[in-house]
Amino acid sequence: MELSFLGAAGEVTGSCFLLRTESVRFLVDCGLFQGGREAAGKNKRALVSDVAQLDFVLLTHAHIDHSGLIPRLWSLGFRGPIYATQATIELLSVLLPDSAYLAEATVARRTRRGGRAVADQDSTPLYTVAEAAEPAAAGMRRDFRGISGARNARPAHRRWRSQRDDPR
Amino acid sequence: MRAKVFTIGGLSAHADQPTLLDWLANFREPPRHTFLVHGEQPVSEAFGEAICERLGWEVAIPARGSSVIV
Repeated sequence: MELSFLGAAGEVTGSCFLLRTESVRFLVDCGLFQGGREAAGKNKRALVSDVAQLDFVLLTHAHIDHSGLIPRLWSLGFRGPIYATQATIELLSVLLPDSAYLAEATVARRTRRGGRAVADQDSTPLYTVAEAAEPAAAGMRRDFRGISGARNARPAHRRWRSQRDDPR
Repeated sequence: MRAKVFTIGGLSAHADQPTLLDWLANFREPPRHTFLVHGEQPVSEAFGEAICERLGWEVAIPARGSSVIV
């Protein structure tokens, strides 16, 4: 089993760990990088190369530095299950739209301050309030038995991967 | 403004170093791998040294983007 440290490595925020076996690959947490000049860039670059390969996401808890890239993952095309406890799911229905609101407000403030000189990268929020609501409504699963379901689907995953001739 | 600032430590949901060391000391056998994450580099290094000193475990502080086979 391979474990990759995608965030919160040498820093506090951006908790995200990719676990890969022959049959399944999943994230433990999907957190936002927060604070510092590099955070915005790290958030935009994160997950881009991993999203198509993921089977599911497991969230340990709702804090934004553990969950705040879920809407980004969704807008990058991920449509698999996101497993969390009922309490985490309920908190995320508030926290993710709030995180989006803050992202939108930050961009609006920068645009006001910098006018048209603001670089493209800073002129769009990482995700909008509407985008944040989508995975919160559609992707969350509290029935953890679904995870063993993913394991049962192993032959299908293998076939799919070999058809795509995926080197990873 | 008639207001006071209070800090409520319990809400952070994070233990401090002595509490984490006490928790780690409960393992009957040392884990095969111990990775320190979710901390700034200098803090992680100090905590890693404390774990090594008290428990004798090997501790790694992985870099972002790195991978290990476990």
